Amino acid sequence: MSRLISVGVLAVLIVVACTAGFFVIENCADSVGDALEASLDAANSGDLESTRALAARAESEFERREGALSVFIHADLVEQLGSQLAMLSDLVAEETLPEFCAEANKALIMLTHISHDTKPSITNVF
Amino acid sequence: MIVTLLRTVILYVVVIIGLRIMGKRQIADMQPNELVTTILISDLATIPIQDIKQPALNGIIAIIILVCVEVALSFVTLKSDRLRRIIDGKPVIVVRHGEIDQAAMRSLRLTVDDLLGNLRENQVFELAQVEYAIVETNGKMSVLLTQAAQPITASQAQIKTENKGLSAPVVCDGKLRDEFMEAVGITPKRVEKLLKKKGAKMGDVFLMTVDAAGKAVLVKKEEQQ
Repeated sequence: MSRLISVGVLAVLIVVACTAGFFVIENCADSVGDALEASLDAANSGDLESTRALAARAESEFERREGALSVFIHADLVEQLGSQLAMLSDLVAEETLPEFCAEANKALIMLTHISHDTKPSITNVF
Repeated sequence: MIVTLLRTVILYVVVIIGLRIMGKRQIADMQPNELVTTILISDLATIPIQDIKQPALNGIIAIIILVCVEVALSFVTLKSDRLRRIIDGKPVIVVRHGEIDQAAMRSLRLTVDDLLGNLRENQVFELAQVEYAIVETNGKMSVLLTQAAQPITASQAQIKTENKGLSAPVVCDGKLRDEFMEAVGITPKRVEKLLKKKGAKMGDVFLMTVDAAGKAVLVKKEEQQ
């Protein structure tokens, strides 16, 4: 009986950990993704100031969640995303908006992959 | 390096807890599913230790899930004969009344050398002495000797013997052990009295056993040089 109780408790902890991981990743994808998309729109419309502010916001949203993200996904992926977002700030500072748009799109694709790869789906399982 | 050290300790503790929850069967003779679980757990534990960029939580979650599945499966196989047969298989008789069942051996992919080796491990050196040889679900062989080959028992020789019951360790390495005290019907106070009778103190005792009749055997600690 005590063994069943231990297993039950462990099962609950697993569910809690997996749910927490899912929410952390989704939350990061949403907040950073929204900021990136907004910065892309601003860059496409030529608004440099807004692009700079939104790129900085994307980076700060990511930095806030970086520690929690590292608990649930591979550190290399977190590092790559962080580097990509840092690069965006540099590109805005250099006022190279076409390159900024290309790199921002890459960052969005990386975010999509991270979010997609952690979803429970048949393709991910196999 | 410190990260590796901490992960090693954490995963070691997780594996130990997992093995304890799965129960003593994991440490003794294993069924096929138990062997698979143990191998998987050991492999899963090494991945986050070797690659510190892998989230440790992935390894820990996978180990815990395996423990949960194993315990759940154990409970289900306890209740269901059919499932137990599917997962663990069933014992197979390979020798009957001294005659080898070659079809049974083929089904187990057991060679003659394997059979004779297993018989020797059971202290049997002559096939004619074997009444039954059974290969158990964990791969071990159980052997029943023919009546003529079995050692004679006290009751067969009509020799009266007294039942001494269990002889249990009550003091180990200077500390009182209470796991078997109830089985041999002894109390800590009685143990103290026995020690006093033998002129020994608890801290000086390496091992003390007592049987159901109250007979004590004492081994004192050697003086360390």
